[in-house]
Amino acid sequence: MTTMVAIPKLVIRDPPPTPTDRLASALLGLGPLGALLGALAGPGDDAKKAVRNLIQSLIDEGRRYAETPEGRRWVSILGDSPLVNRGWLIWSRANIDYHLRNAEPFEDGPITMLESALRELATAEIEEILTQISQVAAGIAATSQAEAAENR
Amino acid sequence: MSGPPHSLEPRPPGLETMRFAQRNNFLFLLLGLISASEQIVRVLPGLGSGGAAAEDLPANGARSRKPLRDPILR
Repeated sequence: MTTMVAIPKLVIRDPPPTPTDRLASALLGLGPLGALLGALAGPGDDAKKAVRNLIQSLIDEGRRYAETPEGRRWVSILGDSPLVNRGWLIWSRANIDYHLRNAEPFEDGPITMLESALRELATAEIEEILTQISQVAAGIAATSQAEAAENR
Repeated sequence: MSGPPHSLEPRPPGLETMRFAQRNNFLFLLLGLISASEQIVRVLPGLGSGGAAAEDLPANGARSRKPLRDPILR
């Protein structure tokens, strides 16, 4: 007589998104201002990636700017500056280039998102944006409470 | 009188070249910040009160018009 042994089924899933993750994702859909807020409110890894991408974008912008007449003037001013020498020492010792090796610079430059957010801030209906943010936050809070009650 | 160069081949990049590139990345970061700031300064007056254009704004509260890019870091 053979005995049937049930083999447990192992299911591997990503952990569910936290309320912070959901808020960041929802904010990304609210235009340039929401995208900026979403980048700031995102989870730790996303925020770290955003900072690295921003720094790499600024470096790339600096390379482009250095080819312009104004940029060349700044290069002549800063090239032998003690500030740049000191900054280079810290940069080199802290191995910043290593941390930036996988950074993905913004395709449209470092300032476009901020400029778009400022333009939206200047022209958009501020009550509408505040309402949207409140609705997103309330929806996430309600979902989280429902999930917590379900898991009890 | 100095003689001709022994070789016309360019030297391979060495440690000094690598250091120079790293240093340049810090320098380029500063240049990127300057460029980004200039772009924001150009659009901000129009977005704020719609008043003065950027080129009319004095630097650091100066009374008269003054270049925004003084070599203060020299």
